[in-house]
Amino acid sequence: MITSTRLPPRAMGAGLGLKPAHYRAVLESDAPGLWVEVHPENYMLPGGPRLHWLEAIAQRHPVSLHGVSLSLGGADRPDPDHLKSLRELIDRYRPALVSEHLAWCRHDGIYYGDLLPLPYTAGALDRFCDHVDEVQDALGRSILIENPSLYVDLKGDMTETEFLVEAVRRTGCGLLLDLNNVFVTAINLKRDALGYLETFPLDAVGEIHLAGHETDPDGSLLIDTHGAPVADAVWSLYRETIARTGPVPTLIERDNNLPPFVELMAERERAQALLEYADEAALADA
Amino acid sequence: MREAGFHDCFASMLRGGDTVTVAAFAGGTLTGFPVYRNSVVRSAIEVLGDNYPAVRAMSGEGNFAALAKAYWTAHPPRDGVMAHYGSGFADYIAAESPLGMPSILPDIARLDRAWSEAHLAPDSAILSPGALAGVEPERLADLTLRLHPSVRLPRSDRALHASWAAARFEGRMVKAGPESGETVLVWRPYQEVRHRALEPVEAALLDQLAAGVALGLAAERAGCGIESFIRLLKDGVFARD
Repeated sequence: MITSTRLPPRAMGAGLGLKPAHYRAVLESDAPGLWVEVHPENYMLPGGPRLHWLEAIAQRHPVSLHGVSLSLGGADRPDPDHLKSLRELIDRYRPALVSEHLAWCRHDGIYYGDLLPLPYTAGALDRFCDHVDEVQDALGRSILIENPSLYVDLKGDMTETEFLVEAVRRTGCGLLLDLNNVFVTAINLKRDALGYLETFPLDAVGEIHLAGHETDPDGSLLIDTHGAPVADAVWSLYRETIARTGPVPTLIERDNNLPPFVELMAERERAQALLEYADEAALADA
Repeated sequence: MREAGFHDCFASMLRGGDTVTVAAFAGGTLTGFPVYRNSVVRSAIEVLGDNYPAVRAMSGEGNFAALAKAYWTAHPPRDGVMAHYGSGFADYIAAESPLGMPSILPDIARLDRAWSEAHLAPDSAILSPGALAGVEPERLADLTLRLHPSVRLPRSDRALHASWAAARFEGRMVKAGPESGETVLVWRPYQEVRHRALEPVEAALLDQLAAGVALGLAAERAGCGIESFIRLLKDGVFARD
């Protein structure tokens, strides 16, 4: 069997969400294509071992900063102190990617710790784009915006993909396509996941997320828990997507019910193999 | 604008309001709204429990969840840096003295908090015993020393270190010690947090040194000999500069 060696070792193939329990294993891994993603909020600290580990890991593997608290879809402007801390982390760790969410989480000085939905209206779009502009100016770089997982349908003037297309056009941001979120939202709101991808601006996608979901206790909704292996249906969406986009840095996101490192790496290898296959296919087409 | 008031209504629902408050914005059923409300509360409870593992272990999951939810209602987080969330939890427990909870809980919370603060403190080189080798013995008494920035010295009326450590690191309950008072040293000389109960003379010496008193006078006031100082020096509780 021939394995592809076209992707150089520091190229971003399939990555993992970095967990303290796996710091050493990640640092010591030389798996081709491996990269790591962290929430910058967990590293906005005066000092200590977390920063040391990230520093060491960043020397070996590409790093992505995936923010969860800028509240770009909020009514309030992004917090300038938070942006300053984020800029400091970017200057220190030189991440390959920086991303945030199409969501809000802060309102009137309270942080809610969850990614909350916003109505896709013209007014919300204007404000969202203002916030993205402000963030990109403060950080001196463009960011990727992730599509949310939704549990409710809100009234609006446009679809989510129309909202994202327009945000990309106006702000020059890229997109982080979370395929588990696409699936979860499609089931919860009785929509069509493939139809969503048909209208999604794939050219703007700079990263893909894969994660697991679980069914809520009364069985009516899927919850984006990041607490289970990636579902088969999400793997199918992934194959469909990268057949169109070619290889895109892909993250296995696992935050809860954390399995042993080898299990997580096995799931990562599956994505890595599909990426290498997509790379071969793209080369064959060229 | 159709979304005017949306965030106010949604936030009010998250903080315990009825889903009716957001009904005007819903394009379908309201059944999904409680998912957000539950997830916000659950994540606050989880974060607080991760920051206060000994309090969680001693309270039991159910009691802890109720306490953490009440704390969240009174003191929700202000930003996304969760390592800092709950800095006032010990005082809150002391003020509320929740029914059926052990009376030592506020002091246990202070020990958990000291661990977090030591863990996240700025990095700083420690003063190694070797660094004092060049100091003339007669000049040692004149030295003033700075505590390492990670050093925390939580105090309690009862000896709690053993109970706290057993609950925090092993989920095991150990009866609190005698009502003799105790100072615990929690610090991070390198990249790992350490902790031990101090002898009363060691605690007194550190208090004096932290106040800027020179070593000779500090030892005299604390009533301790050179061996107490040497032990603390070897532990790495002083900053190099």
